[in-house]
Amino acid sequence: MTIVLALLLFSVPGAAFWSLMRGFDPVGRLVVSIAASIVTVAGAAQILLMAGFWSPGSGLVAVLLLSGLVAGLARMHRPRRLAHLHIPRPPSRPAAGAAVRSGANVTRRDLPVRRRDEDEEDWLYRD
Amino acid sequence: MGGEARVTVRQASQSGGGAPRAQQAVQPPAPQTPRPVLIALGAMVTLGLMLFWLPLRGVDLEAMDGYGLIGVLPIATLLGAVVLVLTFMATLALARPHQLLLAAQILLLIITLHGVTLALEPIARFPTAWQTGGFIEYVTRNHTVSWDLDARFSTPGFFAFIAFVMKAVGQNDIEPLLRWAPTVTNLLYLIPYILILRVLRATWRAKWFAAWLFIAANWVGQDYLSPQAFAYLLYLFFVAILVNWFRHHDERTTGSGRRRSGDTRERTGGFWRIYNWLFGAKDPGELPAKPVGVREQSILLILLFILILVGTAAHQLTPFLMTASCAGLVLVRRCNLRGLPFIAGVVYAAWISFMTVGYWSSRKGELFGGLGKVFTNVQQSTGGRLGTASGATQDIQMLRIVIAVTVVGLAVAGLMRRRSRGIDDRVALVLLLVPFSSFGLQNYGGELALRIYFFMLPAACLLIAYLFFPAPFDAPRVRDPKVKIWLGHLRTGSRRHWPAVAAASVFALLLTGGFLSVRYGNEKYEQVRRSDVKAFDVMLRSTDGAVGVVWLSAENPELVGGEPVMPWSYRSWERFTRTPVVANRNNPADISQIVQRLKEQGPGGFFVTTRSHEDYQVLSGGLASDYAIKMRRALAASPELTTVFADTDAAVYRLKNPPAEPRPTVPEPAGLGMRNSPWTPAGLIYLPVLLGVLLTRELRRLRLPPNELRRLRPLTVLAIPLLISVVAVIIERFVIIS
Repeated sequence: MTIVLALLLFSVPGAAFWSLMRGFDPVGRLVVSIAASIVTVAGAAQILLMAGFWSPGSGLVAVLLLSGLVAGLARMHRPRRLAHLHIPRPPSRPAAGAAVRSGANVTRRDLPVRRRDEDEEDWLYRD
Repeated sequence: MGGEARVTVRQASQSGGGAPRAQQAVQPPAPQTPRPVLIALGAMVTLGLMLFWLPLRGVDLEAMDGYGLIGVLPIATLLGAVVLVLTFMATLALARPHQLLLAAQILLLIITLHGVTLALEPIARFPTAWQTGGFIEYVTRNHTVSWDLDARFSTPGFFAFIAFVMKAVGQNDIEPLLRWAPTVTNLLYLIPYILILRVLRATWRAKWFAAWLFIAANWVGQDYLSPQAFAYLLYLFFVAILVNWFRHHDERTTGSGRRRSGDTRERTGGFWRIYNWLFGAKDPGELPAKPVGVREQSILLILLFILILVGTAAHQLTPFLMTASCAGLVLVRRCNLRGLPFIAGVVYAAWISFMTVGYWSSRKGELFGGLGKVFTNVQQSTGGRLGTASGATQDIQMLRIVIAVTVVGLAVAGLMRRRSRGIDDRVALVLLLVPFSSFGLQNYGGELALRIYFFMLPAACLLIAYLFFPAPFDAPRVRDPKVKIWLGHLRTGSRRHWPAVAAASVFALLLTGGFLSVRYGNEKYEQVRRSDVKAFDVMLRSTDGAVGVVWLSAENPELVGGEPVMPWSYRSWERFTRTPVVANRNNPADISQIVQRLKEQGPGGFFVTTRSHEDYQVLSGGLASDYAIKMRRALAASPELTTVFADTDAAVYRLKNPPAEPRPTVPEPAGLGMRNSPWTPAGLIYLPVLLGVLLTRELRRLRLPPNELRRLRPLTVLAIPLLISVVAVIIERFVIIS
C-alpha cells in the first residue's frame, strides 16, 4: 500500500512532465519525466524547508501546484485545433533536408552541415 | 583494421542518414536463436537463483571473521553466483540480443548482489545509514534543521525530501526504507545509465555488458539511503541529458585529421603513426545527437538547472562534479551549453557561502589546508586507510585497492583499443577523468578515493566493455577465404565473438567474487543487530533530557578520528552527545575512566557497548579479542554502576547515583544559519538576477544559429558586472564572518 502511494506521489508530476514533453522519443521522454518528477518532489520539499514552511500537507499542496502548473503549460502550448482533431502534431522543427529558412527564425539545425564524407573524394569525379 | 571500420561507419551513416537504427537495418538479420537454447538459459537463471538463495537460510553470521560475509557463504551460494554470471555471458554470446532475458538477468543481479543481506540480517545494515535516518527523523519532528548540530545539516535537501515522502505516504518506520535502499537506488541508477548507453557507437554486447558491470563493480557501498546516493542519481540524470540532447552540432574531426596539412599527409613512419593515433581522423564514439526542437531543448535546459539546484542543496561534493563534467564536455566540444558550467559554479559557490557557514566559519585554516594537498589526500585515502587494522581487514582493504586499480587500468586499456580502431571516445574520457579533479578538494575523512571510484564507474564500466567488445557496431566481417589469418577459425565466422565473451566471462567472475568479498568484507561490524537499536531506545526512555553516551575506543579518536560503530542518534538526534574513553589495553577490568566520564555527563550519562562496536575495535584498533568480555564483566560487577540493559549483543550501564550536575540542555532547532554580513543583502539580490541572466543567455543560445553567437554579447556584458558583484559578496562574507 505504501509503495502504491509513493508511486502515486511521483506519478503526478511525472505525468505532468510527460504531457509537456512532446517531441521526444518514448524512452527519452520516460526517463526525463522520471527525472523531472523526482526533482519536483525533492525540490518542493527543499524549498519549503528553506522557507521554513516544511510540513507534509504544504508539501503535497506544493507538488500538486507545480504539477498543475506544468500540465497547464503543456496544455497552453498545444495548438487547440490539433488537440481537438487528434491529428499527430508535426515535429516542431523541420526535418533534415528541408529548405533553409532565413531571418531571425533560423536555428543552427536549419543550416546544412557539410558532411564529412563529401569533401575528400570529390575531385575524382570532376572533369 | 581501423580504416576498415571507418569506411563502414561512413557507408552506414550514408545509407541510414545518421539514424542509429538504420545501421542495423542495412545488415542481414542475425540468425534466430533456437527456442530450446532460450529455455535452457531461462532454466539456468532459475537454477542459479535457487542455488544462491536457498542455502542462505542455514548461514551462521556469528561464525563470521575479519573477512566478512564471503567466509560464511555456503559453497552452493557461490556456485549459484557463478551460474548467474555465466548465464548472462551465455546470453551475450547469442547471435542477437534478447532484451527481455538480458534485462531480467540484470534486475536479478541487482537483487542478488546488493540484496543478499536482506535474507541474512534481521534489520537494515550499516550504522551510518541509521544516522541518515536520524537526520530524516529530526526534520519530520521539528519541520526544520539545525546547522550547529552536524555539518550534514548544511545540505539538508535529501533529508527534507525523504521526510516529506515518508510522511506523505504514511510510512513512519524508516527501517524498511534503509533495508531496501541499496537495491532500489541501484535500480534507479540504471534508468539514466540506459540513456547514456544508447547514444554510444557500440554493439549491443558492449552496452549490455557495461550495464551489467555498472551493477557488479559498484562495491563502494555509497548507495545506502544517503544524500550521496541521491545526488549521484541526479548526477547521472544530468550527464545523461547533456550527452543525449546537448551535444555539439559539429562533432567531427575533419576527414584528414585537423593538424596535418597537405604536405605532411602522405608521410609515414613511427612518428607519424603516433601523431595520427593522437590527432588523426577519428570517428566520434557517440552516435549523432537526437534531433529535438528548440522548445524541448529549452525545457531540458531548465530541468538541468533545477537538477543543479536540487543536487547542490542535497550534497556537498556532487555539484562540484556536475560542474566539472559539464565543463569537461564543453572543453572537448561534446556539449554546446558553454554557459552551463558557469551557472553550476555560481550556484555551488553561492550555496557554500550562504548555506554552509556553520561548517567553514570555524575551520577556515583546515579548509585551505586541505585544498591543493593532493598528495596527502591520495595517501590518506588509500594507504592511510590501512593503519593499524588487523590482517584480515588489511587484506580486504588491499583487495579493494586492487579492484579499483584493475578497473581503472582496464578502462584505460579499453580506451586505447577503441582509439586504435579509429574511434574517439571523448565523452567516456571526460567522465573518466573528471572525478580526479576532486582530489584537490577536501580530504573528506579519507573517503575521497572511494568517491572518485564511484563517480568514475559510469565511464569505466563502459570502457571495460569496449575492451572486450570494441566494434562500433555489429556487422558481419567479410573475409576472403583464400587469405590465411592467424587463428582464423576463431576470428571469423558466426562465432567470432566467442573468445571475447569468454575473456569477459573470466573478468566478470573475478569481479563478482571481488564484489562479494569487499562489499560485505566488514560485515562483522557493519551489521546492525536488533539489540543495538534497542540499546538506544532504552537510553532515551530512561531519561528525559540530554543523553551523554560514553563509548570505548581502542585509540584516541581525537588523533585518528572515529565514531562509535552503532546506530547512535538514529532518532532524537539533538538529545545525544558522545564522549569517548580510550581503552586501557593492559587491564580490561580498569573501569575508572568510564566511571569518571559518566560522572561528567550528569544525570543522563550512559556507557554503551555493542558486539559490532567491540568487533570493530578488535579488527581495526587491535584490541584483544576478550577485552570486551572482561570489561563487561567488570562493569556488571562494579558497585558504582547499574546495568540498564544487557544481552549478548549490546549492553547499557549507568551510575547508580548519577550526579545532578551538570545538566546539559537539549539544543533547540537553529535553522539553516545563514549569518549576516554588511554586503549579504546585496548578494541576495544580485544572485537571482545573475542566475536569471545566465539562464536567459543559454536559452537564447539555443535559438541562435551557430555563426551568430555574437548576439549573446548584450547578455554577457550584463552578466559580467553581476558576476563580479556576487564573487565580491562571497569573498566579503568569507572574510567578515568567522
